[in-house]
Amino acid sequence: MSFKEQERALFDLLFDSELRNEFCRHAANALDSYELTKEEKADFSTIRPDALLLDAKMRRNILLSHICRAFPVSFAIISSLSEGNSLLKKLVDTQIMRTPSLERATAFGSRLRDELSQTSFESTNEQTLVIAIVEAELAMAWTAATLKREVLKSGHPPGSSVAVSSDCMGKPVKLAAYVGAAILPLSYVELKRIFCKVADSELWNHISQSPVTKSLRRSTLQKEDPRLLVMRARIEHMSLCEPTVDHQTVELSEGFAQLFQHVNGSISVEQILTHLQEAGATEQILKGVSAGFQQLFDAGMLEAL
Amino acid sequence: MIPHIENLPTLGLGASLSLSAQPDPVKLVEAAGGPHFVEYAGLVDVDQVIDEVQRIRDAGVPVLFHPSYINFCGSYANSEAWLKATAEHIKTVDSAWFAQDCAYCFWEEGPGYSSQLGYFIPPIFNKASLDNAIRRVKEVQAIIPTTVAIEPPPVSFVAGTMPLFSYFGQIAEAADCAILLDMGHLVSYEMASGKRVREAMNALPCERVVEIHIAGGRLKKGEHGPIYIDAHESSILEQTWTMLEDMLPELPNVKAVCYECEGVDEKNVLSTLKRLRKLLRELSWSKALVAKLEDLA
Repeated sequence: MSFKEQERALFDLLFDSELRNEFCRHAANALDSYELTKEEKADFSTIRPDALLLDAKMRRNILLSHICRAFPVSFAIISSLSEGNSLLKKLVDTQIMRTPSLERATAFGSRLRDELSQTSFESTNEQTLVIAIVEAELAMAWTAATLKREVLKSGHPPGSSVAVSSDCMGKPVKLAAYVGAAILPLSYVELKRIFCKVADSELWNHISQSPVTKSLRRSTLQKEDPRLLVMRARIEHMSLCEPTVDHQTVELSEGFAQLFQHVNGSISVEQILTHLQEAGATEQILKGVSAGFQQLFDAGMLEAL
Repeated sequence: MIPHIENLPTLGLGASLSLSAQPDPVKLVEAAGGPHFVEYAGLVDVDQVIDEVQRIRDAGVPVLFHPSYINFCGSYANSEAWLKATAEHIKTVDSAWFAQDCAYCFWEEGPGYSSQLGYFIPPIFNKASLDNAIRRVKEVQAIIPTTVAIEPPPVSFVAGTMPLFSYFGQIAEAADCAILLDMGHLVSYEMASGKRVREAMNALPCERVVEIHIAGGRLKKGEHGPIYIDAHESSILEQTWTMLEDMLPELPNVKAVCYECEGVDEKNVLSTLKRLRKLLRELSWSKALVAKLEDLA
């Protein structure tokens, strides 16, 4: 006999669609697997099945409109897949709802990526590009969650970035904390402009009524002008309860991604440039690479050691 | 006579508004027939809202803080950090009391706003839940520097058989707290449970009811009858007006009546406040409230 078990059953009725459907069909037996006394089980007999179904549906819509804010481009593109919105709805289950709110977007994004890897697309290339977009937004969710976790643990915001020194190019370099990077098929700004026609807070309602068309998805992804998106999570508002985070982003040409593997604290930008020169890079390429690194230093995304 | 409730200030007829959305709270306050106070559902950290709140206070009216992140029921305790931030918030904005829906805002995974569950999850109406709710209210009272009021939440379904007013009446008596009654939420309970709230009227400690809410709603057709949806941007349903007319003569100690009208245009807010003012004068049993309406007329 346990009130906690009643709470568990209530939670599961709201977020476990199989249990809920079973309850609506056979209320008397649906909760047999819960350790409830006859009286405790009887407390659930007052639930109107039609109202429970409506409640769960509305609740899921609100939750998706919140999660959508972390994955605006992903949600919009997925809405264009057949059964795309159903896939998103399916993911709001007890596993996701049992994840602490701080980690929920990350957990949702990871599962979304896994689901998409098993979904059939018109071509493998299209599947790769869509998953790349999900991974980029997942990286933002992950860096945001990591920063929030640190802030809540320590009780204070992370130290401000070290000022960029004039000799930063000559020192070994590494990625700063809470920085992530991902390759996108197009500029993120451009993807948002094309796919997200309303504010992020309104997007789920919009795409659940007017999904993105297949032709817009196809024509956009065919443009393929790959970019390296580098993002840095920053505390927007410090709080011991609910810190909020935003992202500073820099977009670089795709070729920059290969150089990123050398940004590990062991060599300097000048050494990277020397290697490139030795490999035959033109003066124009070297200038571009140097400017890109300087941009990352200025944005606090790189640290000279 | 419950001194800490009796002595609360009478605020009159107010409006619950979004601080950074239309209708603009200050514009409404300054309009003829505008609200006497403004209630808002803000973030836990007062520094996030203080500029907007100060604008309202500078316009000459008090504010009430009415959030949606406190667990006033269930077995999952509130975070001390969140309660302390709430206490600071209430103190800073000088909220005369602290009221919130008595429902689950978060589950065992940790504190947060009710939006992380979609919206409130209603309590189970039984004895074990009642005992937990009393514990939760006392936990909040231990840190919050003013009178706490609990509000029956909106429900689309009801679990448990204890009548609504028995459940809330017993919590209020045991924890010595006040009560806020939202007329639409009472209608929602009646539709979800098939019971009339007034059947358990004698279980409600009427003198503890310090605030009334009224707001728009929508009805969804269900297989077993209509289902009430709390929708502040919509019109107030006739059933909700009737509930108010039925309840007003029962409540001697109401200090504030709040029209929750986020998303309603200014003209409609003012005309609804006018209708409410008339109704309160005619039917309210709270002499202090009626006197306040006359004073502020």
